[in-house]
Amino acid sequence: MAAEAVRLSDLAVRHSKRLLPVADELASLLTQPGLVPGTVLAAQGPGALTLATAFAAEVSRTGGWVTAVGLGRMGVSAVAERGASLDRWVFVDRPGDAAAEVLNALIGNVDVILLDAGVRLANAHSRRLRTRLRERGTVVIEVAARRAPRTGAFSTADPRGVGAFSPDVTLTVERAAWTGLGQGHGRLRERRAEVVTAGRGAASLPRRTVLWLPDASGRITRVRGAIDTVSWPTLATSTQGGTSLVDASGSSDDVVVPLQRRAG
Amino acid sequence: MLVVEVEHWSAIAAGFDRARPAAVVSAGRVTALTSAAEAAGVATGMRRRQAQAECPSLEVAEHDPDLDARRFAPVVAALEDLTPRVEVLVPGCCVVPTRGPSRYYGGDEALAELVHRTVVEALADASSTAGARGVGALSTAGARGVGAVDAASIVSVGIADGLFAAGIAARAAAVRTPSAPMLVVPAGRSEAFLAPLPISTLAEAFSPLAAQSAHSADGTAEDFVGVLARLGLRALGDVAALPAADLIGRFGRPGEWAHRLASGLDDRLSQPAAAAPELSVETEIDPPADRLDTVAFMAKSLADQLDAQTARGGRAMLCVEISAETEHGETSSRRWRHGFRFSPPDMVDRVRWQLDGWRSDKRSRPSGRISLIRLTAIETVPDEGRQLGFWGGQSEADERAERAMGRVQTLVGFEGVTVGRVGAGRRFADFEQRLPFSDAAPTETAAGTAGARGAGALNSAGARGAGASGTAPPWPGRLGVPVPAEVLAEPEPLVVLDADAEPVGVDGRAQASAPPAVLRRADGRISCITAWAGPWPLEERWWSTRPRRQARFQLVLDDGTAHLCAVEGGRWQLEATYD
Repeated sequence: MAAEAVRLSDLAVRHSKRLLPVADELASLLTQPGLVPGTVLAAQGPGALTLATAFAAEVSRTGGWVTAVGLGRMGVSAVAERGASLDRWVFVDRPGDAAAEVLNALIGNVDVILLDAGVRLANAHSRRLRTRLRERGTVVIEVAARRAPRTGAFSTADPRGVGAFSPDVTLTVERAAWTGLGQGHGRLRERRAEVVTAGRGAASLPRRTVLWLPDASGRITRVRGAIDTVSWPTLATSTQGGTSLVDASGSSDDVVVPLQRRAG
Repeated sequence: MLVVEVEHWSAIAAGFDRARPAAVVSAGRVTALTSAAEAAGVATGMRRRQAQAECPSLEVAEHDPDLDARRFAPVVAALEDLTPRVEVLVPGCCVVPTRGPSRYYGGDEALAELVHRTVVEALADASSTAGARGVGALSTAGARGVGAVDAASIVSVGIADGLFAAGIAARAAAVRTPSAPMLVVPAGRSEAFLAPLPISTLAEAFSPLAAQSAHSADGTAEDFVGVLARLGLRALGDVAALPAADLIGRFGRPGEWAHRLASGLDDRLSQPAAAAPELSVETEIDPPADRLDTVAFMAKSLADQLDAQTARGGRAMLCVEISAETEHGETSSRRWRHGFRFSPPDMVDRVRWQLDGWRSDKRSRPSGRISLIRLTAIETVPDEGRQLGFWGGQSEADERAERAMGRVQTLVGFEGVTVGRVGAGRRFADFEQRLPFSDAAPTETAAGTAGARGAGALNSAGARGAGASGTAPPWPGRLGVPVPAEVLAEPEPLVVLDADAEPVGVDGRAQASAPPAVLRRADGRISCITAWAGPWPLEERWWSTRPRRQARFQLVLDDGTAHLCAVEGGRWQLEATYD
């Protein structure tokens, strides 16, 4: 903790009195115990939408305002499920050409903006809005499009080029596997997801967290126990982005079951 | 407690000739007027148009609080020669604690007379030196004697136990003895003095209730007084006669206020606490500021600081002393009293008024720029807290966010900014609703009140069930947790094949023709199905002429993603994704 406290960025110092709250289980993904105002997070990989929603939901639940820009695909009941207040959760589904103006109007007036990575901004707009974010303390969470081109955009090695802003912290769901569904029986029950946090400053040292996203009761919780001892279900495993830098470091990957391909 | 009030001060400060009909309007309503206008039938509270209809020759000026304060400064200065503790309530009205001064000047009556004479002279002085313009309007054509007599009738003085009673006494004096409007209510007789007065007095000037209603969301003082009147309480004495406990039980805090005020007890004054010495903030302005705006800007942060300090002690400020110093060492120090409680913007206003008045003061005009400013909390009371509106108040952040949404609506259209509601039905298209932002009524579902349950209950089964299942009736057939995070507004058509590349169908008994193995998306991408479950039939409106039948599957693909698909009329479609 002490080391993290020393590494507080300028922003954290400036806004230290008001980190935006995140649920305890999710705080372990971040280097701070909350969202640092004025920063940009990116969530990518399978489950990115759930992860981003969960971060914003706690802010909304505690009285903050959240706007989802370009995320018409976000399910309302999933938002309610995460505990957000639907009164303070506003959707701007199609910002279109006015994306920069929309963001400009929102920054400083809402607490969290969930932004689809498909929303593009001109470079000049992006820079100016980024400065405004820093001044006004709004947090942007970029949600990578699920159907991103398979060009390695999900790689943790290159966090840039994901969305309109270059993120300070990138949360990549490297592997995700659903359990509970069999061949013609069962139902989707829970999903194990391995989330890699990477980014600038204190987050520059990538770290892994294994989450139930969500668990069998619908909550997002940490998977207890050492990563090594829990074997991954072989049912359906995803390694989005292939071998990234983090994978290459081989921290705890010995038991990872390789991607299974069934003959079509 | 002595209250001295100059009637219709705004009209005098605006420089109107009392012999000509003129009025000062604020927000479209008359707030102050000259005696000629009063004679012509204009009254305060009238709309501007109405007033002009009553009196077509009416001169009208917009209300300018800064001007009021600046013109009032010499009067306050004159009073400060009599007693050091002069507190300005608003420009045009001062409060003087009487205990010391009364004994010094030989009784309440003598003090009232002295204060009256002093203020009248100060006004006449200002008018004669200001010449034709400015306060000169007091005395017509510079006839000083006339001016003094005229001024004597507009300055009223009241002395009573509390601020409320004293203010009412001053107002009463203006009506009863217009030639020399002074009224002294003997100590301990305030209740008897107030008893015959109409109940509406509680909602008028000098009443903390009226000042408070501007700060709270639950109803105005007029509403409250209206309720009392309908209960058959006509006079303040009726309220005082009721048991205090009943009033508090029925009306809460306003009830207690009403009882205390009607009984002549002003708890703002009965237990004033001298603020602790540390409740003082100051800042040096370096380089010294010559512009009022600069000082006001510094004062804003000071006021916030002081407000935070007093709030930390659970107290609200009633009386604040503002001191300013120039680079040459001249000082200006004045106390300002507030009818209810000081907010930071209130304090900044007072700073501007004081400095403005100081700079235009002929006797002690500062010779240099302002180099230091200090705010001291003189008197505080326990802070009752700001009550949010009973029906859910709005915070400043909410207002800001709503304004921002209004702005976004101008960019993307009214329908483009939506909020979600979980409604009735079994299909996503039915229960996942989107409403335009400003149309949506607030939800009463668990999501909104989850805060009250504590963090632990956030995702507990209870809150979740309410969040996911929305409106009251159970919807059998609606899928439970997990809830798909991604819901397609328009279902995407799919082709699902079995291992032999034959299309998978669902028969009338809800049996799949073969295990699904391959899925082809609309864009041609092909994925293998690694796990699946279903079909789960959903039959709706089977009793009507337009029944809807659907069979749903959960599918996990080889890229690890899970989807909810449906077969309807023999066609597969992608409805939602468990992203």
